[in-house]
Amino acid sequence: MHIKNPQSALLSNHEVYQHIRSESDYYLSREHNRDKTLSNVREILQDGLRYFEGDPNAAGDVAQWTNPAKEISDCHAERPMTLYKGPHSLLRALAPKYRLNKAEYLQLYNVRPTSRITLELIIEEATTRFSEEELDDMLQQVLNVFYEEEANIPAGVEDQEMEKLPDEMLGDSRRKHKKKLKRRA
Amino acid sequence: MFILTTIEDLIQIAPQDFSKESAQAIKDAINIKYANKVIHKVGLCITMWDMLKASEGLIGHGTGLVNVNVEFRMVVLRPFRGEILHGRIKSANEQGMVIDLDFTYEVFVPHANLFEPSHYDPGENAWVWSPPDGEEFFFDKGETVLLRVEREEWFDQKPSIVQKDEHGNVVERRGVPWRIIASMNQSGLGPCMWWESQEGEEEEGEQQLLENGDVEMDEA
Repeated sequence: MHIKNPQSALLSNHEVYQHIRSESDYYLSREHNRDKTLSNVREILQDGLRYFEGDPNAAGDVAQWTNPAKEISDCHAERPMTLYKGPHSLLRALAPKYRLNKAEYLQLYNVRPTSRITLELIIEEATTRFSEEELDDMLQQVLNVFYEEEANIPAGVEDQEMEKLPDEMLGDSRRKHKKKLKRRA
Repeated sequence: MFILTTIEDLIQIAPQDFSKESAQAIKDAINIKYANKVIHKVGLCITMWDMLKASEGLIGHGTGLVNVNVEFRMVVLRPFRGEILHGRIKSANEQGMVIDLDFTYEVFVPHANLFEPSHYDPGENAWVWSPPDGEEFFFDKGETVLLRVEREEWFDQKPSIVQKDEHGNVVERRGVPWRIIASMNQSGLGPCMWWESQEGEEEEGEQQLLENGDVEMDEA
């Protein structure tokens, strides 16, 4: 075994949930259920489903809480990629106005803040970087993107070629940043 | 919370799997080898994400196994420092709380990382946050919470490392390979329920809250 790259990409919970669901369709189907060698695969898939969908065997009186990843994928059942690519993605909604870094975007997807308190947890030094109105607007934008009716999104937007954003994501490319600093000096 | 890790490995396919399609046979073999296992300093493997490269299958001398060199990407659970995660309270004791992520329950919140002032209630078997205004908030078992990842601890499980107890006897049972230390001491962290209900109050009577000088909103 050779680890070529310990971290080649970051995944959002929503993406992992989609993956776990499609793998479960295969590995948890009846014909593979009997295969004993696959027991570890089944265990981790069941753990994953329980984390995202809640425990189906939980007692009825415990208030069941749904993971945002499940809600998001229910809202965007047919075309989940519109959330990540094209004009209807979170990046296109927020990047023109606010400079956020990659980790902050990732956590917007994962935690899906619905209140200012949670938003300020995710955005570092939120109150010094942004005004109250900006934070409220950001929250509204996030909810708009996640709860946009799928039927209202034109077909094929996720494959649309888009102009590169003029302003790089914060902390995205160190080299470019240095150049900018030099120019300023 | 999740990352992709690129791994290169020699995968062996047993003759009884020859009836499967090659891609599926390789994928099954990879999943059997990696799924639900922790790689040191990498994280907990979930399943294979995609295959990048695979060599021709070669049958080794003496066995009927087909050997394939495969480069693939694995979905790995590896929260980063400062990440905000959802979890469920599994248990509590004097030292702190254990949080269940379903994938793993090796997430620990030491009492020093809780809201000040908090105390442990042995009767309820739960931690209680008691802000100065006299209210009490319980960290109940089974509650869904938000937590912040503070640091992680790795314990190498190499077979060549022999662990001994204080009398010098070899310990056969191995501990956990990986533990996440988390905190819940900022507003918004802790049981999701607390903050949801507060928002309602805030909308209804923000003015009133300000007049009362409610410290809760300004806490942390």
